Amino acid sequence: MSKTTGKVGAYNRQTEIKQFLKKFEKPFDMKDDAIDTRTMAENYPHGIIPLEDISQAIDIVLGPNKRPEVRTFDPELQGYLHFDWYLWDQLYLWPRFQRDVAPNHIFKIEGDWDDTCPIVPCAIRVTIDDVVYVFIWDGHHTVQNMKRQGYTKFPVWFLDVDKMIEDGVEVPEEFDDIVEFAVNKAGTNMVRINSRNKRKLSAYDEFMILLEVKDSATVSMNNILNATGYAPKRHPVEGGFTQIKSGQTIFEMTDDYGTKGKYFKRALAFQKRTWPMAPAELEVWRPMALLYKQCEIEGFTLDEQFDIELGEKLVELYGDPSSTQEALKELYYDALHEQGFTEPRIHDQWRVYDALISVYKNKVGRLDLPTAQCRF
Amino acid sequence: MKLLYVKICPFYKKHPDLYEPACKVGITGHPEVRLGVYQNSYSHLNHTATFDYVWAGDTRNINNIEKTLKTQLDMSIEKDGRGHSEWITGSIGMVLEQINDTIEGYRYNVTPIGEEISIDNLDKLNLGVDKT
Repeated sequence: MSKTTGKVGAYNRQTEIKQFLKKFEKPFDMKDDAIDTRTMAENYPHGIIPLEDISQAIDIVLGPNKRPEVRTFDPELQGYLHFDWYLWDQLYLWPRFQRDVAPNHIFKIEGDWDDTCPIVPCAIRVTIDDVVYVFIWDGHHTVQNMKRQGYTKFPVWFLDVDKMIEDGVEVPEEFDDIVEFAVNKAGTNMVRINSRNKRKLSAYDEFMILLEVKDSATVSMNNILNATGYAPKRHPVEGGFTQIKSGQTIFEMTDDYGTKGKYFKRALAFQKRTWPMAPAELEVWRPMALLYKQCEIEGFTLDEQFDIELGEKLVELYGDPSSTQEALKELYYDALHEQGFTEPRIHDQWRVYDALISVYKNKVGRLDLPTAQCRF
Repeated sequence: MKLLYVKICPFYKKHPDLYEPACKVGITGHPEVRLGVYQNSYSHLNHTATFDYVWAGDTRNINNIEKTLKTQLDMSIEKDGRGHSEWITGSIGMVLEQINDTIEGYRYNVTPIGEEISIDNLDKLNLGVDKT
């Protein structure tokens, strides 16, 4: 509300978000692509959030213009989707919307099978010539796995076409009858669920789940992040680490004793010491990790002073880590255009690697370093 | 060379008791043009468009600090509605503290100019810009 006019203005999302967050002791990110429920959970006993609170947060982020028309709908009484348990000989496949079945996919699922994991297959149920058919349109591989695992009953979430017929549901004119209409719904829903509206599990989410289940490599990598002052994050915020996949690759690099994470840790420590607030910058810490490893392989010892003097030189010359890696890549490309290289680098990590060696040799030069493939 | 600037809402600047604290954080390589755009909305008799706080640096550092600040100040930046974008509501002191901490913590190569900049003293920036 304006101080001067006392009028309430148009919907302002940031104002609404701020207002909503006032009721929480620990604020959290509310963005279009992610409401940070992990941080939000810290406001609740046992870290368990009522769905109603998440629903309110969603409404605020999307705003009133994107809110659907208000209605009340009891799907159990008013809808045609229901749950039931079925016997094996009641279940069918209609290849109109399931064009094949993949034995190797079933075998893959089997390798990771657990009776607590299957989701409920989706189907349409319709009576034709006095036979009740339950056609699975989603989860037909899973249901075959259940059979192979000795299940005697099968959970099914089904669209009750018989009930639709009984209620005289109007069939759009492009369909011959209600069964055609139901098949169309099943096919459309299958594409909706499995393709169009599928939200892929991001590397960050996968990492956080693996951390929750105490996967040893993930826990170890996370310990390194914490020890060097970083935390895995979805977005590049202060002290955040967002490059999960690249991090896993560099973490896996071993030294002569087979120890993982050594170069990863030193590279992150280098960045934190040099740029304490900045999020981890991929093309700074990754080429540094490669440099530490190459030095060890070739027998060059890099003392702590090396990290200090290189860091200070980079700050003096280029500033923040993003500007630094951009400038280092530019140095590489300038040299490429001016002098040409017999074997140009094909990846940024190696372009920056070569540029780091070049800058250190030309501007500091206290220690010897490996010879860069592209020298300038 | 580019500039990072903080421009305080002229109403709040003149009458902090009557108006909400708000400012814009922006960057420009052509301060004379940007000041001209701001001046368009007000008579020069009542208000001279001014950058209240200014930092100068190379294009890369200025572009990157803007990106960082937009992320950090996200919760305070109004986004909805034409012309609302970039306005930050809340304490000016908080915004300046955030900028100074960010410059220090990210080690941005930018230099504070140390005085307000308007069209009247633009030559002090020595950016080689054409004021005409």
